[in-house]
Amino acid sequence: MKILIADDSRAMRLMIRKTMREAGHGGHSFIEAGDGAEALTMIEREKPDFVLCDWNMPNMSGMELLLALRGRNDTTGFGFITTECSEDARRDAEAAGARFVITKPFTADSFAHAMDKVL
Amino acid sequence: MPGSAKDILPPEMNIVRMLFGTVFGRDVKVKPRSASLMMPTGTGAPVGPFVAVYGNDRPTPLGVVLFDLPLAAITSCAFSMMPPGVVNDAVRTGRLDEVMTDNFQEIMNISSRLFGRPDGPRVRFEGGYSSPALVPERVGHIIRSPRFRDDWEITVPGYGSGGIAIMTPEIGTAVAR
Repeated sequence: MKILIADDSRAMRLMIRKTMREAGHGGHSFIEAGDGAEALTMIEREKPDFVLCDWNMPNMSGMELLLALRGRNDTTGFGFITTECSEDARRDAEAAGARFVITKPFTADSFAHAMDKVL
Repeated sequence: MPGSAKDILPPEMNIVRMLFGTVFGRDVKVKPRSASLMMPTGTGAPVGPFVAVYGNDRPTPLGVVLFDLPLAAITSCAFSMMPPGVVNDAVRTGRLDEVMTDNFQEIMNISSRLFGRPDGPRVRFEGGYSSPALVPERVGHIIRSPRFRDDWEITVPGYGSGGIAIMTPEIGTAVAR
């Protein structure tokens, strides 16, 4: 399975990959983007099976990316990894088509719980 | 959910400990310290404290956090498990290198969770400054005259200790703590 990790922090992208391994999901192939706009380009080119995406990023936010994808009927699986922890944010994410919201800081358990349901 | 500063509940000590403990996967220690210790640091030209501003696009921020130089160096090194000796170099030179700066941006971003809760308003990291002297007045006012302020010493095992100050412009529901 090909998974795109979109986050403006390089260290966070590495941490997400490490945590995916710890959660038993290290066997996938990973590609990375540094913001939403780069992620959109990579999704068109690389056709990942799932997107793990930060919410607040420069250029294009994670929510703007998700809405852009769904607006063009792209149903690529999508989950947020974000500091957004309010019920409002969670509702907005689900309404836009996100499969889950993992809040930062996270543990391997929170990844396993979310990813086991969708992969 | 309304998003004014009065809806913000400033974090108790265990929230601070849990947040940073989860970030670093270590048994982080937190204890109170005097606000007078939060000052520019460094053996050369004093640096910091760094200022992180949190809000939701309203004119008044919902919260402000100060990190002294040692804590900025400690957290940015521990975040990607850099050698602990890099902390001393950063404090000595008064400078975070490129990787540490990237890491510290994410530390400030994650620290928005100090103010967020499921039934609370949305809170996001709006921006960081390398000194209180550089902040806009809407932030400087909070630093000078916070309605709420807690100062903590945070120890990350293997990396050392530094200071953090957590401030809000309103007391809000903090009276219920």
